[in-house]
Amino acid sequence: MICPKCGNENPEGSQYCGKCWAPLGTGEWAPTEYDVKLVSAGANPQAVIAALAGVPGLLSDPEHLVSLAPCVILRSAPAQVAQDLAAKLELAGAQVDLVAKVSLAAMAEEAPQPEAPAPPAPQGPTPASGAQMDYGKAFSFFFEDKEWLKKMLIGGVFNLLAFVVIGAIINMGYFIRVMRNVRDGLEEVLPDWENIGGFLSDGMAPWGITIIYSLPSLIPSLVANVLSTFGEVIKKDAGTAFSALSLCCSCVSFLGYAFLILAPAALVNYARTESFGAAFRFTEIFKIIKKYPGPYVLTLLVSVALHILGGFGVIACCIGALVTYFWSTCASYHLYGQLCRLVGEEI
Amino acid sequence: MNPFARGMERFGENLARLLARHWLGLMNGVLLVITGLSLLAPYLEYAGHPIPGLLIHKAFRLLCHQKPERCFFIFGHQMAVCSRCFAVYSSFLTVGLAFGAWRSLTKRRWEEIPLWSLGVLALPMVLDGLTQLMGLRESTQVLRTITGTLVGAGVGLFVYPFLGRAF
Repeated sequence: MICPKCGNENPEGSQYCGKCWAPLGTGEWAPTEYDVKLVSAGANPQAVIAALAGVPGLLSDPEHLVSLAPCVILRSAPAQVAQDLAAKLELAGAQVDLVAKVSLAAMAEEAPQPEAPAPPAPQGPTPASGAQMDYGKAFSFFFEDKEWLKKMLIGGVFNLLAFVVIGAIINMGYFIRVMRNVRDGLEEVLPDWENIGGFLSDGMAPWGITIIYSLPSLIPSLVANVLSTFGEVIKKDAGTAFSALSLCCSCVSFLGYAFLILAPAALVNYARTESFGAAFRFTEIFKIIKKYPGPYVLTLLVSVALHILGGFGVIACCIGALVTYFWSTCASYHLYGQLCRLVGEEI
Repeated sequence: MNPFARGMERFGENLARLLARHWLGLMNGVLLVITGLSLLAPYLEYAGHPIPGLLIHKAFRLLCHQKPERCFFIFGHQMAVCSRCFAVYSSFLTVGLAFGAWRSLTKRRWEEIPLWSLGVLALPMVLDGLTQLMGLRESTQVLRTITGTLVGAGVGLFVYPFLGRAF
């Protein structure tokens, strides 16, 4: 089985390319359509223009498209058509990327606009251009499960138990299982609630990671609140010292939020390597973000939106939020799992 | 796939597309609301609407200490954030608007500043804040504004081009 993206040869029947982790056209995740992206026209743009002449369905006329590169030149083409065109263009010296639907590159770039495409980066095209993230799937996979309501309610109960920590750890075990299932491309992503002990032991490490990552944003504001209360109570020299210190703490909490931005990358690096220490190897974490800035930032934004959405469960007698938060967190971890698959084994 | 799941899928795709396309507008919008409201609060109090003004002050307590001696006063009333915070937010907003204008007017790329220079730009504010905190000296409104502006502009100059390249 030859990978359409990187040309690597894979064992028959594999779902993903072992080298670049692109879907190979089997299983539920297989893309059937591709956007064809012209990354650069290469040394001989005229040859590329000639190769493009007469291709049906191009987004603009060949000369214009070549001048706009990097840009998408053909949208939602069947796999065969896309691969043929890519081969033809590469023969003419162009650099082409096939982007499986739904892809970030296609989302950000509408039909080619004169002002949109930037000149190719000096270090070559970023891998993000060929990245496949399925944001819709993250929202829908939960409800494709036959027993989703039951699973969601059980998760809500453990969310209720989160204040005694154990519920939070068990749920984290569940989320990390979702992430692993997505990473491994399983068909049934949503785990059954039968092995709660397993979730408890699986959840320890990632729970620790998320706690450690949120400490820099939590502690300063906590300390600030306590100190400013003291400051108001004492109202003496010591009081002013306390409130001055609390001011500093609220400034530091801004830095804490910067730390929080790294947390998903830390989880990805943890799930990728299954080692606790990987969550704190910052060179690798920065590498992941630098290599996939688009998918990473959009994943962050979407998971913030998911968190807000999860909050709407409050409408259902407040307690509803516990259940909807369970869903929205699962959806976020689905995205982290996709990131994990994207990053693959080498970084 | 059942209809509900399909609906959710479409919703998710549209949401991601919206965020990918309009991230700059969203960020500028949020910053505009923050800076706008912190200016609006003293105006409302001046114009004889103390209750909405108070509500803004209460809400912005989450963002800033709001010590009166460190805030600008306009229309005879205190702004909703301190002078340093206001400088950070407004310069961040200015860079965001400039970045938007640049993107729509030129084809050229706007390179982000390296991460270390962000540290250099933040250093004056850190020094100013720390020496004040330790009681060595008291900062001035001008210094707070200048150092805050450096930080806000620095963050914008790093974040916007980075995001622009990401999307």
